[in-house]
Amino acid sequence: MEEETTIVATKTTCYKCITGFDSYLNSNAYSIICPKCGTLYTIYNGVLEKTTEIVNIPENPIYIPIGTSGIINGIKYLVIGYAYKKENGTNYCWQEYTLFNPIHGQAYLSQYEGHWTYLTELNKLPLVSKDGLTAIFDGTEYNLFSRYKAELIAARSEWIYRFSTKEMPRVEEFVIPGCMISREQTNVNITWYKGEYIQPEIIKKEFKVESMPEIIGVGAIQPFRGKFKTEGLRNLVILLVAIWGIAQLCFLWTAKEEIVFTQAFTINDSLNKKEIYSKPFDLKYGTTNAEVKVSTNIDNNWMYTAITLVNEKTGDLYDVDMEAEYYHGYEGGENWSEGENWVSKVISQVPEGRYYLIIYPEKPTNMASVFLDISVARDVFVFSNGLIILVILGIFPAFYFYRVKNFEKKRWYYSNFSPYEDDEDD
Amino acid sequence: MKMMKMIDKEDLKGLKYYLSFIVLISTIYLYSMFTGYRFLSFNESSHKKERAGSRIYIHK
Repeated sequence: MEEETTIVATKTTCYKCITGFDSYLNSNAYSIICPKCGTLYTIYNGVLEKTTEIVNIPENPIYIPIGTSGIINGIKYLVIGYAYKKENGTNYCWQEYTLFNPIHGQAYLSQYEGHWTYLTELNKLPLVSKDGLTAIFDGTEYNLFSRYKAELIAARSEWIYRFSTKEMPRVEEFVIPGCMISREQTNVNITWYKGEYIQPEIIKKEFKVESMPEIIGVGAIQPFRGKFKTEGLRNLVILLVAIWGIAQLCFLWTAKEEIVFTQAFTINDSLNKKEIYSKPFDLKYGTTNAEVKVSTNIDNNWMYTAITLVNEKTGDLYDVDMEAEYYHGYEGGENWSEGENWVSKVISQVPEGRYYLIIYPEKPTNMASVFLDISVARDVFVFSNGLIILVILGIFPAFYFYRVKNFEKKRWYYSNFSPYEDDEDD
Repeated sequence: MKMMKMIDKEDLKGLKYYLSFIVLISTIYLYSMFTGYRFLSFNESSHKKERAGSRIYIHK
């Protein structure tokens, strides 16, 4: 923090109402308003010159009294003025506190529905797009949020420039979460400001404000508050998905998917609902999965096969029920089909060893015989595991991003340039 | 590495519970892939130590 600079107020007297009031800018002031009668003065070399303009005296509560000092972004400011403004043609009103620091000059604190923005004048020009909907400043693109004419309702202030109540500057505000840049255009000049969202608790603490305005809705530049940045989570999710994809590909490439058994059967009435024992086969590669696949020649029919994988040595059994159903037809001018004439199931964690199958087929009665082709593949790639993991890991980011999007929609609710307009129509 | 730089240390601190969850879930994933366990396969096959009587065949 910089060294403190004390500002001493000088007493000034209004010629009209003969009221003494404080001036903090002293000889730096160019315009000043009498806080009692609202007469606007122009100051030349410390001498007040009365103008014909009268400014309304503020009636609304002034949350930060003039003469209060506080620190924002490491700069100690003194509140030297207050203005109550309104968007011309609407009922949107906001408060504007003028801040002053002898080294850094003037800055502003704008308060609208409990949201505070700290504004400082820019010393370089942002680049506005041809359509006027975006502005680029310091490599960051800001989106147009509002365009209006600012009307002064009441004020109690002094300025380092010539002030006129007749001026109704045309304002354009471009925003990103947390920041904004705004252009104020009068008949004679264009001024750009950079605004930064200040948390109300900081204002309350720094300016020792007793009563704060109620916070309503989401501020135009209010950032989404979390313990981390949204970009941080987004980058983590991208990284996670990339690692997930690589891991899935690795498991796909390294899966043996070796057919270790295949045998064909013709199931007729003599074999129907009877146990059939297969020839033995070996399962290798330690403990891993085995996929049993049953292919049939059914057509508009079903075939049930119960298969038990038996370890010859240990007697361990793995039961799977496999039912193939395949139906198709032509209805309402369209072909349709349902199911498949084959079925496969993965048996998890089968230790290596010598195995055989006990096959129990049950064929439909309207078929004299059914052809069965049974195969066993060792160490197959299971895509669904990765998919389930991805879904589980995606729940938190999905919920978080949903909340952020809702927050953004609320931010843009009162803007005429909302990118969420279509969503709101829904 | 470039991506890791894009993630702020402060963000990682804020995401510590989620990062712990990622580690836990990833461990389960790697275990399942290395041991051939298929999630949600509990109703597809059943494992028994020995055959006790004849098997009940469930044809729906």
